[in-house]
Amino acid sequence: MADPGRAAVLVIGVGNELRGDDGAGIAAARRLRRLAPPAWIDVEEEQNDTTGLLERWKGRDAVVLIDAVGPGSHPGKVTRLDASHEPLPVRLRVSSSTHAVGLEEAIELARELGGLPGHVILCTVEGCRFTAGEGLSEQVAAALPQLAGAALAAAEELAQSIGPPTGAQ
Amino acid sequence: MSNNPGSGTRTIRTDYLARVEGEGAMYVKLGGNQVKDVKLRIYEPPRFFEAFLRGRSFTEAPDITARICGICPIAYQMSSVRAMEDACGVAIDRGPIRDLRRLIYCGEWIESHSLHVYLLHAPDFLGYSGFVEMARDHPKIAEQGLQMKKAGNALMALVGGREVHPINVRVGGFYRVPTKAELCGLIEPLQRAREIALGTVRWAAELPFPDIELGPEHVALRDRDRYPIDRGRIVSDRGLDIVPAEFDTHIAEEQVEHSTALHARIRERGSYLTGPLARYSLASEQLRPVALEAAREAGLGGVCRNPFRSIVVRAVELVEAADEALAIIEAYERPDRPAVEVEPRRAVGHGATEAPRGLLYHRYEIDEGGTILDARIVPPTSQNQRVIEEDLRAVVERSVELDDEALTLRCEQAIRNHDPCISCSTHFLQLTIDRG
Repeated sequence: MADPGRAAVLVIGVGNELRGDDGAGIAAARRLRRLAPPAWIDVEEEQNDTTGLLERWKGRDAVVLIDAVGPGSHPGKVTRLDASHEPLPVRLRVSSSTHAVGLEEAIELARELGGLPGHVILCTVEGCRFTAGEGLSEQVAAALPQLAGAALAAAEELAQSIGPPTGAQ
Repeated sequence: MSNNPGSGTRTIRTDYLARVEGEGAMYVKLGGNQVKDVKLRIYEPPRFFEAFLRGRSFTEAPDITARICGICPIAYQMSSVRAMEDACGVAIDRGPIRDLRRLIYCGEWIESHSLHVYLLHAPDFLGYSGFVEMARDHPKIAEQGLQMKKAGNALMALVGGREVHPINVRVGGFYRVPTKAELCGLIEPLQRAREIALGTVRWAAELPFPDIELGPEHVALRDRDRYPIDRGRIVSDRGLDIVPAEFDTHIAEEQVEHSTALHARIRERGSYLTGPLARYSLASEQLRPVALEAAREAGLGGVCRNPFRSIVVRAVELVEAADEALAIIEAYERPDRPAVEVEPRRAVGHGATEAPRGLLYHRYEIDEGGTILDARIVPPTSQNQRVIEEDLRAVVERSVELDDEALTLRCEQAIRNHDPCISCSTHFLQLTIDRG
């Protein structure tokens, strides 16, 4: 049951902006914020503490997560996955996540413990460079509008299906 | 994994090392029952942050270095501020600002150790390949870990301003210091954390441990009558006893062919181990009574040389950190000013503190305006690499009768005993155990 005082959908960009393409989720969240999303979307960032997500999304019905995956053979490719009812595909579980607890693992842990929001969408971009250093690769930088757009679209769809909170415009 | 019966050699290959921070690369080659080669292989140059710091103001060091490690940002901040204060002739060794530093550091020990004990290390001992599978059968272990971690994070957030990459820490102290009332709000969660930690020591003591005793030189800080966290001389169990400024005189870093992180050694002798086992072995008598008693009841003697038992030692340090945090909060009186004045001068400064994983040394050269001319950062995992390799060799030698899959798991567990923070010591470590 959603917290009536809070926005309908929580969007969280996950990553580390000092490790190349691992900053994609953070960059996408900031881009989304700059686009002045509607009041019923909360946009946040999470750098390096994926287990902390389990606290952040407590009491929420709908969450959209943005993160980089890879490295793979299609850098810049944006994918949308629904983790609400099914575990994510195995190949994502073996991602080169730079977090000790990968995002997919945090989601599955929450599911096991009964703490996963009813609706969880993951928007990912495939990265190619995860070495220490600021700045996204060309391909990922070029994919940012699409990534942020995918997150916004996912949030809008989720908001439609769960309805706005009481008192929201 | 492959087996080549014709050649008589085995190579253990794993694609990547799970459940360590970042990724790890390891290579083990066996010839019959002999260990032919063990290498910890690191691919990414570790010097990005040192270069990034050059040209910045000395006041920026805590904010920049905090980004080196998502799981131990406070350790980097604490070593950096001590080094900068050392350069500027300031020593914050007592009083409420020092106590607040120890307090936030306790928060980080709780947050980091609980992540490792409950989620990263426990699955090894219970026979699970990951914590998700473990949580299915043992949800309480995962829940306790998350609860402990939350208490640690709450402490870091209150004193540090933000849970990860805290922004409240500065050279000279803090930008804002908490009120007593704010800190008292953490008493209940910390008391619960202490209780959970005590239960965890008892639980960990009963886990199945391989019977193995290893003898690296143990190195840790010595802080008079306290368990070392935030300051002290650098000492060992083989006679090392130096101030941080003498680090370079006694410890050398050298490039090895298979790794881009440097391997550290004590000049006169060789490899050494920092971290919970070393701290415990050198300073267990300085543990707070509740932690020392828990350690003794768990069967830990004065010294621990079984790296698999590090899970018990980390649980003891969880008790220590929770108890210390409660004591600091109880005695706390809010200081009039959140920081002391620190004026830059042309100098070199050194700082050494005990990150959850071990000794973290920073050295900076600054000019008269406080601009950083040079920076050197030696993380604990980087110092421990050689011992981790030696551990692997010893573990493999004693486990050659295991089949490939079991031996691979044993090797991975041997690495995880040390809770390596690969993203601190290098940045990308791709685990490959080669056996074939």
